[in-house]
Amino acid sequence: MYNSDMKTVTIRRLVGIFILLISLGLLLWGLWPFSHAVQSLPIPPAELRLPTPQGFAPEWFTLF
Amino acid sequence: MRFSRLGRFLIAVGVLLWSGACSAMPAATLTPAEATMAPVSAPTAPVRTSAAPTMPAEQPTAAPVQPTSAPEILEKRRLTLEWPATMRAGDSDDVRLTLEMDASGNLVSTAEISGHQTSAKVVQIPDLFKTHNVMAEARLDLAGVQVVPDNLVSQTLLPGQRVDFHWSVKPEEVGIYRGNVWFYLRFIPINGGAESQRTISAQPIQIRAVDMLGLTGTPARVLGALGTLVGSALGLDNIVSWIWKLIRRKKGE
Repeated sequence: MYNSDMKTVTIRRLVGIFILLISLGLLLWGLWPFSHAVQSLPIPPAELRLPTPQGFAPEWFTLF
Repeated sequence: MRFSRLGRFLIAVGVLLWSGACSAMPAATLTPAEATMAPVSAPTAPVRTSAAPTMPAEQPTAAPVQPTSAPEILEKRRLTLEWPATMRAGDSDDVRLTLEMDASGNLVSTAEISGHQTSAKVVQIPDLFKTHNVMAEARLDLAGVQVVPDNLVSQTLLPGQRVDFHWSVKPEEVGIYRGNVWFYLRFIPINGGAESQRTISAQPIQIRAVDMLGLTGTPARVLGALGTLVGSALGLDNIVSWIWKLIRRKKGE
């Protein structure tokens, strides 16, 4: 009787510890901060100018 | 008969001489209107008026001042985009776009080549801020993800000031989401007139939404917390009594 009770307590504690480890893992994953990606582009002053209308006539047109 | 042949010959010679005279005429000079409408192309090596070029003392070269070029923002800027490459499905995170001054400072530095004869064309570049109000606009396009705000965001761009754009993104389901971050500049003439817009960049981004054992962010955290309590009660039930005995032993000592 004493041995069966001890076995039950041991099994209960093992199950409890297993649940505890899984839950801690879930909690850690749920709270873990993922890193951010960063991309930096230099913008030269030539890009920060007024848009100018560009001619679209083909070059051969200017021969006439 | 002989006269008609001679006549035809003289006429042909006259036409040839006249066409030759026409082709040898000098090129037409541009009228003032045509001169101002000449295409404004960026000079290959413009020298900014803010810093005079370094000339060798033994060969000074005069730098003629050219007519004004197209106005531009005389600042070196940097566009920085930050986004979560990986995030939990069901959670929200922040995408940030920043237009700031470049670390090297303001105006473009002038090229200095020692020992060389420098013949530079000084180009007057008008400051765009003096003639226009500049608006910085940005938009995040990301299909399948809840984006707030989901429309175009505008802010006033002031000289030397940075602008920040923030979006909150929340993917509901697991997957890989691809989109673009658009950045525009809108130029509004101070003296009135038509506005113009220029697309500065369109940066692609990719966000990967993940889960754990089929659980998204919030369910995983809730289940993890509950499981921690239950697991502690089941597996560590003698811990409390053990700690209590330890405390009582120390008090008895």
